Amino acid sequence: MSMESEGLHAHAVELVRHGRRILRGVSVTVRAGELVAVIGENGAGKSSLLKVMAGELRPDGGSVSLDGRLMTALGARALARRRAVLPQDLALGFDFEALEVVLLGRYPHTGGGESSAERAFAMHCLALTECAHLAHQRTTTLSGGERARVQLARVLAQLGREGEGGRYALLDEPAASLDLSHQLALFELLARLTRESGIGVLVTVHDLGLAMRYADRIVVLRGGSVVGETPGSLDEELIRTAFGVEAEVRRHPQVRHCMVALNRVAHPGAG
Amino acid sequence: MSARRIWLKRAAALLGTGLLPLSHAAHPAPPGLTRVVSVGGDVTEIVCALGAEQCLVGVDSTSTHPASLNGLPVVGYMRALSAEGVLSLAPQVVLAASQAGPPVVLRQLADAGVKVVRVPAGYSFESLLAKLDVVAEALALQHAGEALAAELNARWQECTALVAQLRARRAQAPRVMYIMAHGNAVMVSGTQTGADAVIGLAGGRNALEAMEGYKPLSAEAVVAAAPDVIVVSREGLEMAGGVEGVLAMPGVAMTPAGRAGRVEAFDAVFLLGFGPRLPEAVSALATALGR
Amino acid sequence: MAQSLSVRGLFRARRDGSYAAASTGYALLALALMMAVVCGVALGAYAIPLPRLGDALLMRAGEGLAAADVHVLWSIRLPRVLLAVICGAALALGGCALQGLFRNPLADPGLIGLSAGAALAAALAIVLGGQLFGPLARSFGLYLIPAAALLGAALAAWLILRLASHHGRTSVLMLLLAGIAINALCGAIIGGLQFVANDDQLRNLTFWTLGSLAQGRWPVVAITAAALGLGGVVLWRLRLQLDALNLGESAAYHLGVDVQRLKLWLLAAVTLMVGVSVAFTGIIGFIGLVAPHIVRTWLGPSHRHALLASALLGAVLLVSADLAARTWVAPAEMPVGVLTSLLGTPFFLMLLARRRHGFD
Repeated sequence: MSMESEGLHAHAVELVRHGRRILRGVSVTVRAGELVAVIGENGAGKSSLLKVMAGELRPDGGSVSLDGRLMTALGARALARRRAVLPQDLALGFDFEALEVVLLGRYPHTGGGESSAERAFAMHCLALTECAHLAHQRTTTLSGGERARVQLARVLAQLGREGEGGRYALLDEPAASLDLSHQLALFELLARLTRESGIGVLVTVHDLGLAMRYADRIVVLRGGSVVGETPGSLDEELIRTAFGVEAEVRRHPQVRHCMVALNRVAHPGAG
Repeated sequence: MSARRIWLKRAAALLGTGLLPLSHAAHPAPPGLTRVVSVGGDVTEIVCALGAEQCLVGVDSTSTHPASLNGLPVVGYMRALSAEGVLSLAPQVVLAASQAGPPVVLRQLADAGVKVVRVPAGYSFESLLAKLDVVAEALALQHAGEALAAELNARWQECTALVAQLRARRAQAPRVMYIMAHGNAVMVSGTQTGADAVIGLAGGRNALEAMEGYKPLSAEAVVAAAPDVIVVSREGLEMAGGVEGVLAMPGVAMTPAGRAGRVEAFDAVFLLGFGPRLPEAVSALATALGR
Repeated sequence: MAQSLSVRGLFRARRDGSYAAASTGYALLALALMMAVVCGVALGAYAIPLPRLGDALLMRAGEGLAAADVHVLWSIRLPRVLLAVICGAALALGGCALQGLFRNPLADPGLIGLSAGAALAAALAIVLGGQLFGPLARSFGLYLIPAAALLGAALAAWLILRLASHHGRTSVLMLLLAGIAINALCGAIIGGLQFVANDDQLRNLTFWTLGSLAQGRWPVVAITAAALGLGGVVLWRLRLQLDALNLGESAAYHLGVDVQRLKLWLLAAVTLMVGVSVAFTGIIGFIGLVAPHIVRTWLGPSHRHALLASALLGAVLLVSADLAARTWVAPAEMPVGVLTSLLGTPFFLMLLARRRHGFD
């Protein structure tokens, strides 16, 4: 088993749930300073892959390592200092204020000390996701998009300041409840994080346009297996294989590539 | 009778008269006698029968006889006494029936320098005399105690004679079922209860000998018990809606008592108190059974 | 944040969507607790006029001071008020922590079967104590029922945890369902015990389930205080993990919380505190539900403040309820559990109604 020392690696990961093979020998790597997008149709195993790489699910085969250490050897707290996760469908039990939610992101680093510096940093994270004005708002009073941005701010707070060691972010469909302008803002922010802070980001996304425009690499999942991995652009053949959709990818002077979906076609090899 | 009901009734009465004054001068103890709190209806009746009613500065909620006790402070239900409440009456002696409690409160009272006298329980004439002994000694009224014991003995003799006379008229002891209406639940008395004892003393036979204590009434068990007479407390009768209500209870109509309409109602404290009125209670029940 | 205080603002989330400042909350609660304790010590069925009260408190000879004054104050009233403070705090803390664990404001020690376990064990001790344990029962004396109740609460907690755990993970839903099952089972067995109980035992059992602070003596105060202290320290250390749990179990894990360990410690702490408290007082309802609820709507749900503030409010509520219980019908006494439920229910319904309006 080869284990590169740098980066977050899933190596030949198998996952079986309730007798179904969800992931079949999936290997994915996220290096520091890299934005990796995972795409695939519903049920392709994107969220499961993310959970395995977050350490939340134990693979039934293969292994996951983080900067050279096996995931299983890291405690929850040590892990939390090095990677942050934004799951889908977060439902709060009680009605916290937005700032309190963001401050939760500081827990792995401070263990709970809540100095004015911590609060200021949490406010800074809220400002990065354009919701500083919501700091003292209860989360039930927020819109879906606002809630998503607050949660993103919490992830940023967990990644922490320079030198705190937070290196990887795993985001599951972060763009799902955002409007167009905030989707762009989100990916601009992720791109900046990777470029400027050297953070490695793994993000699942449905919008292939966003993936092609911002990702350093795109991993294509289908039926629990990686069916393709490309730097930056997708070709029509891969889209057809992964989604069963006939599409045309065009170059665009500003945004590298854009895609026009044309028709549904039968999956090659499906059925 | 449900403890909660008693308690609520007392609470309502107290609220009606406003909070009780804590003035100790309201009940001056006669010289030589003491300030006494009596807990337990039978104990209180004995105190009064000894002529020491004026010593009482407080009674529990089961002490309802004689009616002249009405104005006295009530220290609550005998199993849920309040240490401070009792102490607020500044008693020198607390006469506590065996059921009185909780234990920790009795201990606190003793620790506070109050003489706590436990009065033994029992469902017999002999145990009544034993109670009398204890109470008389605690109040330093041994002479009055002896006199009362003699009088009780005489009355008891009359009572047993009456029971024997009534009993002789019948081939078999009448089968008696005692019904206690306890809130919504209708309970009947098995053995090991005051009702069972008093039925026996009055020359009857408990129709439900097969079980112990008070148990919920079941229609089939009632039919099987085949009581000749049904005895019920006044409160129970009221709750059931009179004699008709009792006769309409499941199974009752199919018993000899039901067919003959034989329902006898008594004041529960009088009938089951095992206080100085025991001879009268037994005589009254025996007479009712003999009808 | 400007913290304006109005009566309406106290119990309702403010219009701007933020919560009242914790410092204001603590100050008011501490003040309320002080007042409640002072009233609790000063008032009672046994009247001690103020000048004598001071002398009795300081145990110095004063004019007209009776030995009984000192005894009532030091052996009966003070330990009882302190027991109310401790048990009120323990019940509220336990409720608050369990609500955090279940992420549900309706959870309380009764829901997951702790109280039922304690009640069953107490019923066993009351009804069968003499026959089952014999000499052991006598050597336990006054502590037999409390010891049994604590054991019952602990056993119920252990059983519920076993039922709800699978492959080293504890499902909160299973915890709830197991709690319901334990409640039903204990209820059935208690019903059976009531059937075989004699009249005496039945009434003792009834009074135990109504709750009372009459057990308030110094040794009891010491025992309950130790349990509250231990459990309280554990819960206080878990407060931020409980906050993280508010995001759900996976998110809490992502934040570095060992969720399984958190559940075990939390249940252990709550069982200790609530079990010991219930053991001596019987069942006192609604404090564990109402106190945290008020605190959350007022100061916000974060356990950084909700735990301590709930404890303070729980103490205030129970001291006040007990004061009413022992003075209202003096020289008799009402069961304090009846009072807390009687006063707690309408108040709770009112809060729910207001909350519903708030979300319209």
